[in-house]
Amino acid sequence: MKKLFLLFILSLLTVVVVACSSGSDEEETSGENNDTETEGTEETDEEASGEGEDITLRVAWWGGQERHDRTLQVIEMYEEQNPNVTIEAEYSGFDGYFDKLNTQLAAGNAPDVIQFGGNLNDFVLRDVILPLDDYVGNELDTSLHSQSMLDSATFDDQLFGVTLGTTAWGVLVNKTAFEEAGISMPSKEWTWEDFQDITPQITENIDGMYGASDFSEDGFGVFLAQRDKYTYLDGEIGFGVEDVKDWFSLWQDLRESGGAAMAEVQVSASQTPEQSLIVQRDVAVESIASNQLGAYAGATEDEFELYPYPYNSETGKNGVSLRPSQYFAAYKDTPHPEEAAKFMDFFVNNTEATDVLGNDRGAPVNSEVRKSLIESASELDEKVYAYIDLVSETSDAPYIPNLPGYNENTQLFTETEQIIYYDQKSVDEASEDYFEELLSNIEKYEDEEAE
Amino acid sequence: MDQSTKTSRLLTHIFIIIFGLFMLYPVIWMISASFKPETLIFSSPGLFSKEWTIDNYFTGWNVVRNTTFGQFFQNSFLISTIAVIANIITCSMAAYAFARLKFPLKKLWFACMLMTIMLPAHATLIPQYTIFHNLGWVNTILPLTVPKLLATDAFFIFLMVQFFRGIPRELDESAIMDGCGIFQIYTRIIMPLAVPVLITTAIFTFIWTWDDFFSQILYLNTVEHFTVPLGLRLFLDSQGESSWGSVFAMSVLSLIPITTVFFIFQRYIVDGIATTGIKG
Repeated sequence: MKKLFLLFILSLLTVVVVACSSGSDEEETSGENNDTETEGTEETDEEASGEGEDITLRVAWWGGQERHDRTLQVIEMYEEQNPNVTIEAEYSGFDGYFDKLNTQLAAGNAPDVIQFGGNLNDFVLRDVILPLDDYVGNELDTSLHSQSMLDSATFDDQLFGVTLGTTAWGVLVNKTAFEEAGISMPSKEWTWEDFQDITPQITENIDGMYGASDFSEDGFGVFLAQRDKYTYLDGEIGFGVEDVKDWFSLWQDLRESGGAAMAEVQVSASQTPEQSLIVQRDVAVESIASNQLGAYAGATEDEFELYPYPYNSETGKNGVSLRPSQYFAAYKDTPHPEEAAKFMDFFVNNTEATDVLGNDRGAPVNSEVRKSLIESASELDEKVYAYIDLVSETSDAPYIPNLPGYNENTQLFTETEQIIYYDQKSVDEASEDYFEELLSNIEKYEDEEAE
Repeated sequence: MDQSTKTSRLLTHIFIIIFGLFMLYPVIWMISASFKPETLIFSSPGLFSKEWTIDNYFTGWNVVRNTTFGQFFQNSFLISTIAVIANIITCSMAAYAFARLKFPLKKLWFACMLMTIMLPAHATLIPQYTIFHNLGWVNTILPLTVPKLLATDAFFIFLMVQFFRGIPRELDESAIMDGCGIFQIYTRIIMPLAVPVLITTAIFTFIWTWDDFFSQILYLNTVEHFTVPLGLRLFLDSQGESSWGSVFAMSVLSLIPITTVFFIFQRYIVDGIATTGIKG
């Protein structure tokens, strides 16, 4: 025991020694690269926030090449219009983005404006995000933003983020495959009965291609909304075990009739658009988020069409609602909160800026901006905007945020699906087990939150 | 008899060639994919394509506005080269001290050094970041290079200590007779004999630094400081549009330096083993 303790103390000591010695070495080596220093300037203008003073604003986001190019262009425009502001763009791919952000938050060195995804609520809970209410109406104009998107970034009656784009679940249909199979394209007001009727024909007429891939958990949410139910809202579960059974048996039947991909194909499905079943020509119909249309269409030579979800013929509802794709939020300890709010405002409300940004993060949240964009949009983007407009006008369902404990519950849903695929349990049994475990997961999460 | 050994040798070779190609398949696939138009990479995933293009190399090279991949290569080379030189000099000095010199609490310091290998990187991550942040070193290459000047790669020290211990002490003693001091023994006796272990250190430092992703993304914020691994990930967004063609094209390019380094220096490792074998 004594030895262990000694070892522990020593290891601590080495860390300290290493840390200190690297400090003393600073002068010796800083000559190598001192032209790249930026940190120093930033701290000196901590008090400056008004006009005229030089300000450095750090903006962080993740994305692909396309998004970087477009965002950088908007940043250049902003810097031109606000010569006193220098924006330091800190962008990367998705890998490592949140690991880095967490480290920066722990060290108190986070960027001023940060892009978040559906996990914004986790960071709000950790109290590292700046509430924007003081700036709404001044630097930040949200009057034309759709209410459901504002609600999605509101926690405890405070607004924490600006939605960068809206998406909606839709059904991607491979038009080329339908032509090959000699099937006419369904009406855009199709029902689940049509769906059950059409999809097996694909499987029958084209070798190696199935009708549809499983719509999974996202589809289940829409399915519930079509029945005037919801997954989870304001601390309450909004559906029963019979809904779960109906959903899983719908897909079980589809697999049996040949309308849905067989288990082996389905489990090989990958999350990324480029490696999805529909791009690989394993299926002709898949559920996607509307802003991904470009990514799917760009990865293949087939022609794709974006369809609304099949309607529920009993309630006549479609169930699709607008969803936020990403947010910009400000770091709680940012030295320039007003500037951060002003930049966010420019990013979502200025038509020149949004013209450049296009549909990359989803359709613009500002309704005026969206209208002006449609005129100049590419054919593909136009389809997306038209779809978003259709959804926002006809939407018969409220926006439902992710389940608490999202990752765990998604995992549970996928496991349940696979149990059913491989006949380890009957649909009824698996659904009951799923529902039971979901309840206990949510209870666990609520307890954590209450603490 | 002769005939049968010939055929068995032939069979062995055929087997090895097929197996080798099998192992190489992912690399070959990547090279082939880098020459395909974006729409065909995943929709026709075979090695052969109906269309070939070199565009991926151009779009990939001009990653984002005002920045080319050449900048990333330059940054990666700078960091890797400093790391290699620093590691060779400082780790060998530390190892020489542990292997040959007498100083108080030597065993204890040696244990401490080994312990830093076992300490998980995540435990020191945040304190380390805070220190570098307070020094104002974030978004420079200093956090990635300065520690190497202080022999912080304990693994290489350990490797060298083991090697130095194998060099006969009689050589040191005769050097002392000829008037060498401690430092001269290090430069004139130990270092020339330690070439194989130095090469090993150089190769691994180079590969590890070249491939390192996490500490680079942590300390480098703006794109003009980015290195090759960070550059490659600029194309990828798991939820949105990724430019796979550019990723594959640039991945092919980024393999070139690392394979070259390996093939050039690999000879010396083999050489080293041979020569020390004769001496022993």
